[in-house]
Amino acid sequence: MVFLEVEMPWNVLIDPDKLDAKGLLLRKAIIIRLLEDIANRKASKEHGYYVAVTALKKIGEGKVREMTGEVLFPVTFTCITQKPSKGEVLVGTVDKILKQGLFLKSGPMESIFLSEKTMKDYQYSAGDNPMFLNDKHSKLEKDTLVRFKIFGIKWIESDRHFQILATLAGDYLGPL
Amino acid sequence: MKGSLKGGDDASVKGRHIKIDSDSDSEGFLEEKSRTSSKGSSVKGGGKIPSDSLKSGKKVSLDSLKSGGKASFNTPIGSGGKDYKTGKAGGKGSLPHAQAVKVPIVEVDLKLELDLPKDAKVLMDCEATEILEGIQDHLLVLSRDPEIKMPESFNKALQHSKYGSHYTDVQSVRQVLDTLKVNGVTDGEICMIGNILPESVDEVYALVPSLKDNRDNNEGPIKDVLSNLAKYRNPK
Repeated sequence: MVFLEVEMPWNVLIDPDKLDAKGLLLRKAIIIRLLEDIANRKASKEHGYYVAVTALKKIGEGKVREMTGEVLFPVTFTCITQKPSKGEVLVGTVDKILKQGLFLKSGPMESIFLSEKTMKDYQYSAGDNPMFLNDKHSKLEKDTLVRFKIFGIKWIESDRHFQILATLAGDYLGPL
Repeated sequence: MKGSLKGGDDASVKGRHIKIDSDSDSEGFLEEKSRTSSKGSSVKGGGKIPSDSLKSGKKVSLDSLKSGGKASFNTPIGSGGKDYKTGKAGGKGSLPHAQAVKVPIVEVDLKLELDLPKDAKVLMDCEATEILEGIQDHLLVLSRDPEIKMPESFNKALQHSKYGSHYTDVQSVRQVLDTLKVNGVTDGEICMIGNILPESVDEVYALVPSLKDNRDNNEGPIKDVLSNLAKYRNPK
């Protein structure tokens, strides 16, 4: 999941009581509202997961909305996002183990599925502490650090997150 | 006089409506939603289910999951019961996707497909760590203000990036890696090399297979870069 630094346009709505003639307070109100908007948005298909706002580049001219008295400011800002892309090499930790495969966590992504079918020679081994083992006694159990590759991504609009499929097929992939 | 006022009002109201649409930023998404839901309903309402789902296994299985993952949908695909159970356990249901697609086990040349939004710059993990740690320092003061809200991904991303930053001097690492640009190595590939912390040239080619196409040109420079990078590695 590469980090991106993106410059984005946005529209910020400010309540009339936050409008202050002394410039700086208005700027603060805009920044707070922008941070809130971004936090609520969580992620987008285009940019990935929003991580942090780094700079407010430009505040355009505000337009009053007649019905509510709120003022709409067009702004430009830069933010850091994290976006998964196909073919990328990542490191994650094993979160859950099932017979059919396991779930990995990496950064903001909580359920990256690594199917038993894309795990090369690893075999499921049941027990109190289920794990996947291969011939060379390398094992995948809970909290193992794994280097994997992303080979499938799907954006789920309703939950605002990405479904990710991982693979270990390839050299230099596997537990670290 | 009255009439003209009225007209003005109308126009502004219209203008506002348009604005609401554009700043809600959800146009494309809404459209997509309705599309998928209509797909779902077309699958739902017919006796054609088995043939449909067999034809385009991947999509239908996902749709059926969305619409409640009815067992009857899954059965024609094969391992229906299993799919349904694990989908539920995972909560996100990415498993049936995997099973329905029937992936070939060896997929050696899975190339990096970076799909960058416009005005975006790729950052290496170590660069991101520097920025995020800077923000975290400010947050110690800022968090006293309850109005300031950070995205939930912030802490997770910071943790993740910390793991990926193995260098003592980020600027020099960037300089060293940027020399590869002359040899046609893309930003995405450079970023991967920086994040992976490869020990050998073979490891680079195995993990970033898109570099292989131009191996004649970039093998030498990559070797140089790796030995240079070793100087800046964080002793663990």
